[in-house]
Amino acid sequence: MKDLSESKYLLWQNPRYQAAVGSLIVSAVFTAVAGLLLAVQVYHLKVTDERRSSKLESLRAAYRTAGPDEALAEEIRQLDTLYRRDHLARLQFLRRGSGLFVFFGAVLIGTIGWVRSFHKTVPHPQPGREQTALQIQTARRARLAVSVVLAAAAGGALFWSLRVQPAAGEEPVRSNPLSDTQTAVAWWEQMKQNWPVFRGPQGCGICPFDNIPMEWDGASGKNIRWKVPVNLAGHSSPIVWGNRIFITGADTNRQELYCFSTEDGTLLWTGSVPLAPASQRQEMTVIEDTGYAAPTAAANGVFAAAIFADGQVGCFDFEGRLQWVRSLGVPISAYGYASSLTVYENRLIVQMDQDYEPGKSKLIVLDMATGKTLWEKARPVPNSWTSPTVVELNGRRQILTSGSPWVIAYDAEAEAELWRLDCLSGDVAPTQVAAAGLVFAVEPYTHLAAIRPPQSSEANQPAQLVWKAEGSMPDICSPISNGLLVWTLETDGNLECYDVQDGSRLYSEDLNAMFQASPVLVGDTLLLLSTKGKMMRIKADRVFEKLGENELADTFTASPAFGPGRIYLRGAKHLYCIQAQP
Amino acid sequence: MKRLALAGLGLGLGIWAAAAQAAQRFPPPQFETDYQIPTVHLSPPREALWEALDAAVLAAALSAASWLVFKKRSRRWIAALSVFSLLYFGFWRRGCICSVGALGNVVLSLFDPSYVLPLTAAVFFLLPLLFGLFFGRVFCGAVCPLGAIQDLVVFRPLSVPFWLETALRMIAWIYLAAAVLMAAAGSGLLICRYDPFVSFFRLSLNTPLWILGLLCLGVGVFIARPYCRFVCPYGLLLRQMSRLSFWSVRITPDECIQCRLCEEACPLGAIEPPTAPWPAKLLPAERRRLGLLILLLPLLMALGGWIGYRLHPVLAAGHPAVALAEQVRLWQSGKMTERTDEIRAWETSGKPAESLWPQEAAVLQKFSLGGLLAGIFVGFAAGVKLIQVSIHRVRKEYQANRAGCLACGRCFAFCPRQQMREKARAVSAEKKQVEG
Repeated sequence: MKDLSESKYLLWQNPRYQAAVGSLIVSAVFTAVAGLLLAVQVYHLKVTDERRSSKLESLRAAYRTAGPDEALAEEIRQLDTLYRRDHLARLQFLRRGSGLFVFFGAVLIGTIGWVRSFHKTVPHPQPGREQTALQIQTARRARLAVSVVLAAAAGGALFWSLRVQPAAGEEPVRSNPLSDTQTAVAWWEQMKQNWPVFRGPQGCGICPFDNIPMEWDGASGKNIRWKVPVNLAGHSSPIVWGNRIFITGADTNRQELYCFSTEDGTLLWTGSVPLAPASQRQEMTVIEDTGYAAPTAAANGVFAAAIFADGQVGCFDFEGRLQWVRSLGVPISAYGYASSLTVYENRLIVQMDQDYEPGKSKLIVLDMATGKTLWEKARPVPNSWTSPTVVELNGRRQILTSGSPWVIAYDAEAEAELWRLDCLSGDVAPTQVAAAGLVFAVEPYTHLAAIRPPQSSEANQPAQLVWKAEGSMPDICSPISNGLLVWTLETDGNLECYDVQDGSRLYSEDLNAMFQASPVLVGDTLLLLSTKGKMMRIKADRVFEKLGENELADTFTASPAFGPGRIYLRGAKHLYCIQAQP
Repeated sequence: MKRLALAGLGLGLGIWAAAAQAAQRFPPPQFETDYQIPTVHLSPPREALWEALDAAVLAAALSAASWLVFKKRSRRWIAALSVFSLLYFGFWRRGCICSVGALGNVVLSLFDPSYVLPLTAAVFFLLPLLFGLFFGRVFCGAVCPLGAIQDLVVFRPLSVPFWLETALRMIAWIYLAAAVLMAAAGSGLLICRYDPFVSFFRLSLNTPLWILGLLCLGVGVFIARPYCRFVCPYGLLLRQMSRLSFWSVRITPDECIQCRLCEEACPLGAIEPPTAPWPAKLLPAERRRLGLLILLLPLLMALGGWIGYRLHPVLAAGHPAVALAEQVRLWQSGKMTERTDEIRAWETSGKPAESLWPQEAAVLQKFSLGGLLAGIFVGFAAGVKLIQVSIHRVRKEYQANRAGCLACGRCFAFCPRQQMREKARAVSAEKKQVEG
């Protein structure tokens, strides 16, 4: 015992041993400190960042719900920058810290080896055991151990395989609205069951739903399911996909896309689209009747996009996350840009008609997921206020456009112009409609043109002007057709009906009201919404017959939108949902 | 045993903790300007010259290791080469490509015609096996960076009982089967993904892997080279090569004096003591057992096949096609309420859900066959292991187990015969110097 203490004492007196132990302690402390700091940083990265992220998200949600609040926006920006900077600094720290940790760890290992070299003792093997008996015992245990491992594996396999049951036979409630097969069938069908663009499926203004209420009253609240305020004004119409309503609003400072719940009108989120640079906006002409949010948004089931008077396009997913923003340049437009967006599968179609002479207009097709331009075509037209529509005509899906003097159709599937016809002039605003294999286009104040597009087999054949009906034509409202008859509605309330076959006028009736919303057709009833909130019900027949009217005290310039059993109307400051109450 | 149990518990907890780590989450920047994100430019792959240099360094290191083990018989130099390999293949090459991970690349190239196996990967996979066929596991002892980093921390090695070592080595067989199956089916390179030391080599910020690596090193203080012995699938291949090798490591350069010092020196339990012939009275019973175990082999293979087949949905769950199909199924059925990144990517890809089911079914079919074969393989390995431990071998002196010896050279330094030889060599050199 004494010898042992003495040898220890002598060892401690050895300066090399002291150096080794000192190095060991120092390196151990450094390694521990580096490890601790790394652990703290990792904790911050994993936990604190998530907490901060949640905080930011809740602030953003508050911003979306409460509406524009510059102070809150600034707070979010500052916090975001602060957190991001801190996060990056921590990452940098971790990288350096990892290097130091490894270095100190290596030194520690080296010093442990050094210290141990002083403690090396001559090995003293214990007396050997009887090897044969040992081997028999070891072999028995080894067999047992391997068997246990196998049994455990078998038990585990049985347990897991019973737990994992392939889900089958469940009826899907969602699908990919952009899928290839749905390109052919399902997306198109799904689109028809929604109200995804201005004037609904194929832009024809025909309601695809049953049980649409025909009577309501704003004063008594009859059949008014809900009424909610819309933050910013706009002449754009609501669109609907599933349980979401999208609507745009803008003023000189803000451009927003709102998403409301169809159930109770809750504002789910507000998407903000940045303004074009002030220098460009200064040159923008926007009259009051057009406003900053005249174009209607468009949705394809996954994304919703909006365009504003300054040519800024923003796209959001259905949860309100901004996907991309494109600046298409401030359009040169006499009254302000008003063409609505339309969609075809994952393509967002923008009709950028501008300037007072042809040369700057184009049709732009964007990838809705990325915002990248898929293709664009120059259009030989000046500024117009019509909207593109995607329709199926003669078995072919085509993008129809109107602008002085051309009605032009493009292939919806490919970058190609299909046909064009010279039949318009002046400032064109009513959007063309397709019915009974014909396209109806309006030249304001002058005529209604019926065009027969070439058949698919008639490649490079021109479109034919079937007839041209002279009359006092609308300058804002788009026409509507049920395939047998076509109606036009003037701003000052003159409703005219024409026969699709030959363009003969069947009646012309003054409704004694002003209209800016385009007519819609529900079953065999025309619904005409006046600017003062009268919804007139007209029988869709060759003879004029007024079925009735409903009152809603508000100002209406946007066209109605529909969901199953519901009508959505945008007033000057409110959005209404009308549904027949049981 | 207590420390063994604690080490095992620690390893288990560590793996659990690593798996439980949440994904790093931070919202991406929301650019709201016209800023166009520039195209990503990928740096060109390592130049051919560098690849050739890597292969040359590997060949040189293997040659040097063989020379050091069989001619020089110097533990110190073997350790030095091991540190060099750690620095070069580990920290300089950042742990990639390594021979252990190259196994996955080779399997992938065999099953996926679109994947071209890089020449370096082929060299890194084959060269250590070739050397193994001639010189045993010299790669493990002095060239493998994964082994080298573990070798540095063998401070208080404990002796792992043979039965426990045999059972734990089954993990490596199962891991090998799973890694081959995953690579063959296109699920990914399992060995590379769970390389416990790659985070050290790259100083990356993968916390679960850091924890796994630190745990391996922590356990390695008491149980020498745990990854090499119980997990490394490439080590299994090298074991088989080493069994067949032309030359094997000899503990002593001369006749063994049975001092048993080497037994104490080896932290890997690879030194086998001399044994007497089996007692005659036990022979009939042992022969009957051996016969039974041989008969049991097909049954074990069938059991393994059944286990593998039953587990195939679990094994396939990590395959991208199966994982996506599962998510889409949950999403479509409304059981998943929040869109995941995968769902968003799928939606924007425009692929219909119907196109995912055949892909999923094809992968599951692959896995059902693969799981069956992998299970048969594991069953065969277990059966052979049972037979192996039941065969009695007569040894007259202390020997390094051909498969288990990693050629680290620790036993050389402890062998008195070796010491005497070195002393004689030193005296002779001194004498020559004096005469000169």
